Amino acid sequence: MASILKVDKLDPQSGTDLEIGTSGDTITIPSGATIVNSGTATGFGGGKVLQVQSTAGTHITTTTSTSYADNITVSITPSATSSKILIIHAPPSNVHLDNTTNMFHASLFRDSTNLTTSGHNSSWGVYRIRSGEEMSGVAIHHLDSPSSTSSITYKIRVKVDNASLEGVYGHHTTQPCQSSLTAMEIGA
Amino acid sequence: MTEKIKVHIIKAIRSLNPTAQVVIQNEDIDTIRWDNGTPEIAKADILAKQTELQAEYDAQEYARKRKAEYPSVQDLVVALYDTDDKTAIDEKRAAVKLKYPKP
Repeated sequence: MASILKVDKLDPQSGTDLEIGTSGDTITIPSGATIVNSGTATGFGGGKVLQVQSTAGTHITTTTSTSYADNITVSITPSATSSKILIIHAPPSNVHLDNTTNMFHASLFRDSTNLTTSGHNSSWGVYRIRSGEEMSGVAIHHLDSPSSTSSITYKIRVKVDNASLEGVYGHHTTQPCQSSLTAMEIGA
Repeated sequence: MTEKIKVHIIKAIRSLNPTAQVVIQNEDIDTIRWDNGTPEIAKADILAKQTELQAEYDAQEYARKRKAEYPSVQDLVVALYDTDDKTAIDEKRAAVKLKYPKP
């Protein structure tokens, strides 16, 4: 049976700081209990946005290739292996395709790894026009756990499923349009 | 990069090799990636073909303008049943042709 110390206040001795526990200990706040902070609390980094990296501009990729090609990229170096990276892709407003038979794919990659694990041909955006020549891009949001403190490059990559299709990601027939890719490091 | 692109580089490449698998970034001819065994085509040949296709496109400017202003299919259907309407359509087509002459 654990000992229970019941007091109304704990004060440090004069000239010292109050320390609870020793390195390696776990201090637990049980379910239903509440800690109220009316002063300054530091070192509670969980859930905070630690850094943001972003790329924005006109990124036009024209392809007839069945192999992936980069469209837009952003690099980030996580400060801790426990961090998560939230990826937000604001797509171009226009994706131009020149036939109604074949499909155009857009996927999110971490370096050379396709992070899109489901969907047709493991792609986040699968485009096939029914009529006309263009459609809007689809947003890509993904929460990644890279477990790394090395530089990582996230990429939106595109390809066609058949070489008879010509696809343009980020382009209107007469005017280009802007897109962006943002990486936020979220502290654990 | 051209602000208003009518004939993309890829159209020129596909005109020279209909099965070419290529990737082009920002419509920049220096970024062409030749994929999956596609033989490279000289830049000069691509640019020449692009110029040729652009000229063909430009030469059809009058036709595109005429098409935009010609009577609609609905107008033509109505004209099948009314001689006056048919005369009006003939006059409108003649006016559009006069407005946008064939070069």
